[in-house]
Amino acid sequence: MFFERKMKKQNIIKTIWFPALSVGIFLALLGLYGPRPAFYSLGGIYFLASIFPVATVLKTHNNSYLAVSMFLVFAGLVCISAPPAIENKHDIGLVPVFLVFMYALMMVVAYQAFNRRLRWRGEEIFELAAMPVEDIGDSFTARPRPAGQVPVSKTEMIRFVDFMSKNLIAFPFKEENRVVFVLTLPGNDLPYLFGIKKDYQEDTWVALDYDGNITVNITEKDYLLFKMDLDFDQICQSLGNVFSEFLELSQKGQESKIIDRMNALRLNPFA
Amino acid sequence: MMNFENAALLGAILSKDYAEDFFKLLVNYQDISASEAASRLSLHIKTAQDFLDNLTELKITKKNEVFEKKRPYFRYTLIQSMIDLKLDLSVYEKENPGEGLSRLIREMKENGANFSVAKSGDCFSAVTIWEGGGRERQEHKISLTTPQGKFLFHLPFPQARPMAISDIMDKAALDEEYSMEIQNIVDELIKLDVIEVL
Repeated sequence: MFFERKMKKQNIIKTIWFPALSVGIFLALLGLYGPRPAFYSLGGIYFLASIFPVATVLKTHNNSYLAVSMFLVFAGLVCISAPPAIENKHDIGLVPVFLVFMYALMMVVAYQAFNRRLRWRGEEIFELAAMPVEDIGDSFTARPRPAGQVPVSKTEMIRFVDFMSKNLIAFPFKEENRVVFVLTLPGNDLPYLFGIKKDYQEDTWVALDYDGNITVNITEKDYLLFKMDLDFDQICQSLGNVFSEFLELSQKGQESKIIDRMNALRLNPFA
Repeated sequence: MMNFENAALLGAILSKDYAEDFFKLLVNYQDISASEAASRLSLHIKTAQDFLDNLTELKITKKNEVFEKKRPYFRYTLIQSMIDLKLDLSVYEKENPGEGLSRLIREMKENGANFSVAKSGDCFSAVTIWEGGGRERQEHKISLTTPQGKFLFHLPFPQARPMAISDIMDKAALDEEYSMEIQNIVDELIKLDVIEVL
């Protein structure tokens, strides 16, 4: 099925900055100081980087990131144990074992990435919300908007919140009388995962209270991600409708349909 | 019944910390001049003069011009021993609120107002508007009552279909008894170009 993209393409630097920087540092150190410092530094970078996916697992319970963390650990072990093996081919130690695990985990990570399990899905939510909306000129206003009501019990809400965070659809903030889902674009998740950003007011969010009221807030920054000036009232209502539909599917136990709807957009899993 | 300006003037007179002592003099003297009163109460003569002139304006005292040799001055006599401060606040009630409630409104485009969300998340607690420009630019923050906050939370966006005030009140689940305060904030925000009437 063909969908007209309504969002501007995301900057690819957000996705590739880490591997590009690692390779750059490795090559620079290799040229300046030789293989040993270069491999050790790269190994250190991988070990440090393995903490980030663990934070995602702890905050979202998305186990796919466990594979990313394990891959980075084994990549680090390969880098740390490689220099002696390069200098003396009889002293290879555990390098082959680490390499086998690293490649196996790399395959797992690649599979997860192609299936969009490692990607925050804010962009897909925006695309779904924008689909029925007309382009009628700039009508942005910086205030939340009520966007309907859907009956929900506390158990259903807990299930929905778990599903939304586990599948990286939105980052939940639990409040006394409601749950606020912050839409996170790829690359913008770290401040939330590490608890640096505790306030969602400056981000796009959808709140669901325990009476079933849906409230939507879209920031100007995110509104400008759309290629055209969409009717702001309609886009807010539509975003509320997307969440309402997702909640209803979750209530019926049809969460896989939510994932199917987003996958059907066929957005680039890496961009 | 007193009008608001006179009531405000009377309120200002009564709020002076020397007012009671001044009235004690006026009640017990047949008439008194500003300089005599000032010397008794240790006030500046201008202060005493203004106080007595204000009472005269409110017809609580009357003043007579007298002459000491050729120099004229005024002597004041109390003519009302009872002060009655009555204000009819019902005159400020909106006339014909029903008609006002049928006005079609929505938020004005690019109004520059900032709506602060209340902790409960289902209404606004304040609207902040920037007035003036350059160095004169000033923040004007209007704190909202809960019904007003709920009403504005349901206000249609710019370019959205405008709605009647009564319909927005229904949407926000507000009783008709709040219509006065809702109209008050609507009128204020219309004046500040935050809301437009269509």
